[in-house]
Amino acid sequence: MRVELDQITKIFGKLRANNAISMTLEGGRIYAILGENGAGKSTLMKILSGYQPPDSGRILLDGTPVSFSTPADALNFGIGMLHQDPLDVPSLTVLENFMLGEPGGLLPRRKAARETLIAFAERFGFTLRPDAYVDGLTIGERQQLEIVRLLSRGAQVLILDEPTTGISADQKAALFGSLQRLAHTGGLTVILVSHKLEDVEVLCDEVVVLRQGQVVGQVMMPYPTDQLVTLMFGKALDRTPRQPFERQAQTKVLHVKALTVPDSRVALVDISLEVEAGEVIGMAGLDGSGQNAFLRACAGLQFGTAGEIRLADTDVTRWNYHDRAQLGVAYAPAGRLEEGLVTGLTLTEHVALTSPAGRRVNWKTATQETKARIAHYSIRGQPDSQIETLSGGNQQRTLLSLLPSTLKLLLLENPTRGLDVESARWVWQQLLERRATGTAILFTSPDLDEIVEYSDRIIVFFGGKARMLNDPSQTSLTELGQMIGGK
Amino acid sequence: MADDTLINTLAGIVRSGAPLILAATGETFTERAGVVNLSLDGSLMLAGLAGFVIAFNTQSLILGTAAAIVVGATIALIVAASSIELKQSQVAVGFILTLLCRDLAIFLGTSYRGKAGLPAPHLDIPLLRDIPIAGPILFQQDVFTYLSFAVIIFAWFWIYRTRPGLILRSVGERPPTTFARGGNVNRLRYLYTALGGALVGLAGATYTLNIAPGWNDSAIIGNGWIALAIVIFGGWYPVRVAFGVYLVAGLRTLASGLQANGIPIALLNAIPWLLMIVTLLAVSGPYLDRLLKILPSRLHPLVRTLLRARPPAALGTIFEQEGQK
Amino acid sequence: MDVVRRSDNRFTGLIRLAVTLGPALLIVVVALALILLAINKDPVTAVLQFIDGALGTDQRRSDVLMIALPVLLCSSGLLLTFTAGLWNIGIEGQVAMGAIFATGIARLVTVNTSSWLAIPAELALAMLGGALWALLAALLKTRGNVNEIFGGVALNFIAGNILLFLLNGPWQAGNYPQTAPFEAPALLPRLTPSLSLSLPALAIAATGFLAVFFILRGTHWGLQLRAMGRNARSAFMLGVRTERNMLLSMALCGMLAGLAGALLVISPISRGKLVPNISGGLGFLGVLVVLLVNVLPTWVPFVALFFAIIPIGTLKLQNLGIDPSLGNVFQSALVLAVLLANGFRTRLSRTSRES
Repeated sequence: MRVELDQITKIFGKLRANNAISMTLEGGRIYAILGENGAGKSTLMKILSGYQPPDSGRILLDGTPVSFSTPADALNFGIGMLHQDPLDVPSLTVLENFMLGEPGGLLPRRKAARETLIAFAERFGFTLRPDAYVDGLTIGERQQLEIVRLLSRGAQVLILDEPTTGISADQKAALFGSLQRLAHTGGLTVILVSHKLEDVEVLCDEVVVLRQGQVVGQVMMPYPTDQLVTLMFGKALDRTPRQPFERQAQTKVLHVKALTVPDSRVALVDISLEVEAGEVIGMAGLDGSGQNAFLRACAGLQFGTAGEIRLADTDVTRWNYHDRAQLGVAYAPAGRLEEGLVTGLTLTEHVALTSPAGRRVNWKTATQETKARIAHYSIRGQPDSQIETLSGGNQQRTLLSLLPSTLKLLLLENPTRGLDVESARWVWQQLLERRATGTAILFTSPDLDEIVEYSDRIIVFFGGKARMLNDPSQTSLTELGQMIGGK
Repeated sequence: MADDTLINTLAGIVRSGAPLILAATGETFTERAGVVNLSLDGSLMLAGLAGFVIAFNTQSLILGTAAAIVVGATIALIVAASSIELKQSQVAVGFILTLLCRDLAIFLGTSYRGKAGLPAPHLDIPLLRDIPIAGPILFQQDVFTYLSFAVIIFAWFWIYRTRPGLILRSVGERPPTTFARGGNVNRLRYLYTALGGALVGLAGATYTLNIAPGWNDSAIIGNGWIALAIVIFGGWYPVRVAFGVYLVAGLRTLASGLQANGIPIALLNAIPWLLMIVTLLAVSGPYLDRLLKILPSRLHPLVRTLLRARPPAALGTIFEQEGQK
Repeated sequence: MDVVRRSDNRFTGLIRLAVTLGPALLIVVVALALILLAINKDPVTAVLQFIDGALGTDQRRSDVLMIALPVLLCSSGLLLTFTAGLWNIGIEGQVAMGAIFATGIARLVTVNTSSWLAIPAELALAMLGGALWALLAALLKTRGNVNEIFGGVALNFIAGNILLFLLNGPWQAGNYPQTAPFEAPALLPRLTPSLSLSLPALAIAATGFLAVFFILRGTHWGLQLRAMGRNARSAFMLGVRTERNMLLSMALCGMLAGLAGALLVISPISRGKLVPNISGGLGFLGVLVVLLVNVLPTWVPFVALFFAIIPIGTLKLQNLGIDPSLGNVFQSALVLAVLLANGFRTRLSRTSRES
């Protein structure tokens, strides 16, 4: 199906999220929409998939102007969207999710739906058990379910938002294979929204680059990578080479011995690890493979049933989170407004809350301290700004600014979640500065690129078991992708 | 003769459980849609009073029952509207409504105290009434009790066997998904909150028109909270909710038997509340997980279905549709 | 479940209160007038009688003040728990337990006991009783994952039944379910024989309120409570020991509720003995007060005083054949109206901003 966007404009307050965007996407081809955070790609896709109406402009499908007010409406016109976190209902089964929203009478036709589900899944080589509960599925499997559902509902245009985050190399290969078949032999229009250039290069036929709400280029693939980057950012980005880590053998910060942690999904079994001061260890793994459980166990947020955790010379196996914090352990969660910062509290209140002050709060010194941190961490905000009014990048900066200045061990869950490339680099620059003071860093990330780039050592988690890679430079992304998938 | 006593007792339990079934099933619908209607203890009373007053003045049970249903649904709609339109906390509004409706019922009911109620309708179901044991327990009852049976079956069927029921299960869990699949989240929430409130209203009428015809606020007070707790105990499953209701009704009957044996009534009256704490501990506390650890894994699904109580994930939250102003 | 939204800014809070309270009050008064007309009572006479009944004489004004004190104590305690994000619905039971524990001492007091010994002991025990009952609800929440609303409701009914058991059994004096009247040294002294005003009672309530006010405005612990009330998970991650703070704020609230319970049996306006249903909705009234002021401490004493006018004033309405329970209707209707008016106001300002 040919999709034409004609002068699409969407304004939020003063921000022109989409400024007269026009493009034509033909059936049978795979497109990528590239752009940094805030470039307007998600707004545009929300308009195309029926979540938001444009302020002005038209959408034409095969030459006919259409308008729709809900995503369900858009799907009736043949436009289906696969979200990064697939929009399903975890407490329902695969079959129930497949049937949910299907038009029909009062009583669903379970048998027919089951047959359709199995038939579609087989056609793409997906293995979906109709009676399995979705909350036990991996992100990759949930994506497969959504794709099957959208196609069975007659989707002619498939929009995929960051579909390769958190899936294994195998699942990625299967996904790309089926997308290519859908487009090149099935005639579908496939639109990939991503910031991962290597995915775009492997999969797409054509790339549309957005910057500041406008189309700045539509190019055929293959196309030189550095020129794509220049298009996205308006300038070339250079990578600062990073200092290799020097082992100092004497200063062990963390020592985990034969740790076993029960978890709702996979139990961690018999994990051992020694971490030295200043070392950065990246933890790779599919969602729920045990890496986050391990991180939380190190922080004292979750307890093991066997094994031992020592910080320097202290056995902290039974210590809780707050007690371990006293020894210089800090943990920064991925969900910033959910479990990192307090909505409704100002920056100063956050600083006062985390300052080990006396019983009374001295608001004057707290405000001064806040100003100092705003300057040091270049946070765009005022001492009395409420935290939720800050952008995601500035919230992450605030979170980092709240960490104690001297730390032995810093545990980070997906430290650059939702950040664009520039903010992410800034965050890592801050983190790596901490190494100089002997802080060891353990972090998880669904972004294998990030893990390979910043880690001195990598631990790969699969099904609750850990595998240590001592020299990341010897590992390619593809190998790592296969390892997180259990190979 | 001993058998007859037992059968009569069981029939009494089924009968006295009817209002709790109606109220708890109603609340199950409401909470499945993601709305907490905490006002049950008050709305049962106000709806019960309305039912009695209208029935008394018109001498019509049907009009009385209808009035109770309207009152129950209206109160529930206040909770839904103040959450959906005014973004106020469902718990705050529900709690205030509990007190307001209770006080209003007590104030408006002062002149109806002690007035004789209408005779409760009794209706045997032909053929089924003659089944041994089950007949006298289940099918020699009254209309309200039959309605309570119908509501259990309807709730189970609707939630688990129909398309709208599937949508309902998604609304309380993940409203953005419902929206993406074409459901109008807030309209559904209004609908199921009203339905739940209507059943609560019917439950109120069951007290004043059927169980103990007449207006006596102290016969109702507290039952709204019990119904709310049973929804949790029932894990938001209609059949388990019904089981919880009959358990409570049975224990109450047992307790009134003990009262005859000279145990202080105040201590017996505390038992349902102790039981409420113990069962809530059992279904939501960490003890279930400890129990699961010692049981063989084959039994886990069974024990979970019977005991685990996981609230709908979006319960009590406000849903704002993106791009819809 | 989220606790009501609240503002941290004192000034906007004040304007908000004024803008919403006025229309809300008007709506409720009109609604109640209509109800009175519907049952053939003259609303104007009722209002005049009500005002005279509440404020007509020194005695009545003194009674109003004395009734306001336990309400103030309960609301003060609830300010702490609401700030920490806890719905301490169990406060009714905590008041009852305070009264029971105070009675435990008061009924042992003889004419010869020193008041200096008796009264502090009664107050201390009352605080202990209230705190223990509150801790029970708090532990059920933190350790047993039982929602504090349900735990609290159940504990309220259990406390009520314990009270009934005591009054129908071990503590019963005479034919009615009540204790014998306490001896004079067990009771708080009046300022003058004709007035119910009691300075120690006033001092207890004022101290309780000011302590809470100071905790919430100036201390690090108050800030911790605010943070966990808004997002317990984040507060925990930022170093707040949330479980300990929950237990502590509940215990403090229980202590203040216990003191309120003590006032209900030993203050001059009390009957000087323990009777069934001793708290009589006082704790819930505290909840209404705190919801009405949107958890802003400054306004609590005024609203407590305003709410205390109602039970005194409505007593006089009995002369007109109006049941005093109308007062309770007024209180909860007013709080509901204010909450909804608040919602309307934010909705209006939101739509006007957008257009």
